[in-house]
Amino acid sequence: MMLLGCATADPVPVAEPVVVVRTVRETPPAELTRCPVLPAGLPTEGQALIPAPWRAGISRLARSHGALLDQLNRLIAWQTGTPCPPTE
Amino acid sequence: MSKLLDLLVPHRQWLTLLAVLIAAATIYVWWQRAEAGRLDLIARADGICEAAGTPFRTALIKGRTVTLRQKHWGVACLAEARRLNAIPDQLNAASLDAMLEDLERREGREAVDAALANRQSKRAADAVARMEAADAAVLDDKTTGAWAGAVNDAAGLRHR
Repeated sequence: MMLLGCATADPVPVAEPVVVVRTVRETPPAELTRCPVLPAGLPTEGQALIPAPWRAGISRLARSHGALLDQLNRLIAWQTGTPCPPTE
Repeated sequence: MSKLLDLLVPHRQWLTLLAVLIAAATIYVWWQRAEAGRLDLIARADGICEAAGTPFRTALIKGRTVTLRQKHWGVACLAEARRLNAIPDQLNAASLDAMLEDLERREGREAVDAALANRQSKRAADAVARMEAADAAVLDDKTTGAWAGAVNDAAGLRHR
């Protein structure tokens, strides 16, 4: 049944308990959380003749751009933990 | 009574031998039963430990399957069974920890985001107010650098 010659007195190593729970972090591609490179805006020197409806349109575009930029910054800050540096 | 003794005494040696044989046979049967019971228990232990993934009487040492001495039988198997039994509790505890950590992380992010949103909305309101003021200051559709700067601020763009 059991050969004494093959027997060993070594105690068997006991496996450490392993916990298999792991939280999965979803990180989007780095490209998506990169802070946008902002172009220069309107020139602030000189003058221009712009009728009121055009001025209103430019104003709407500017406000929309600002709002989108803020929202994107919030999203990036949410994902990466650090907000983008403010524009000078 | 004396007649019976008279009959038995001449065969005393044979009778003693018979008694010894009966005793030996009884002990042999008991021993056989004990041995059968022992083998049966060992077979069950083998089966149970096999199911737990750790053999009862053997161990893999340095890549070789070695039969252990009897005092080491079931030691690894017992430890493995205890480990397996503890896993559900550990999983529950770890799940709870992970969930709480995630909750904390989320709450922290929500606070940071709320602060950022607050700052942004103040800045946006200021920029819009300045732009409206600059627009009101425009005479005869002639826009100047002040107006353009207000537009850039509202858009979050750099000044040139």
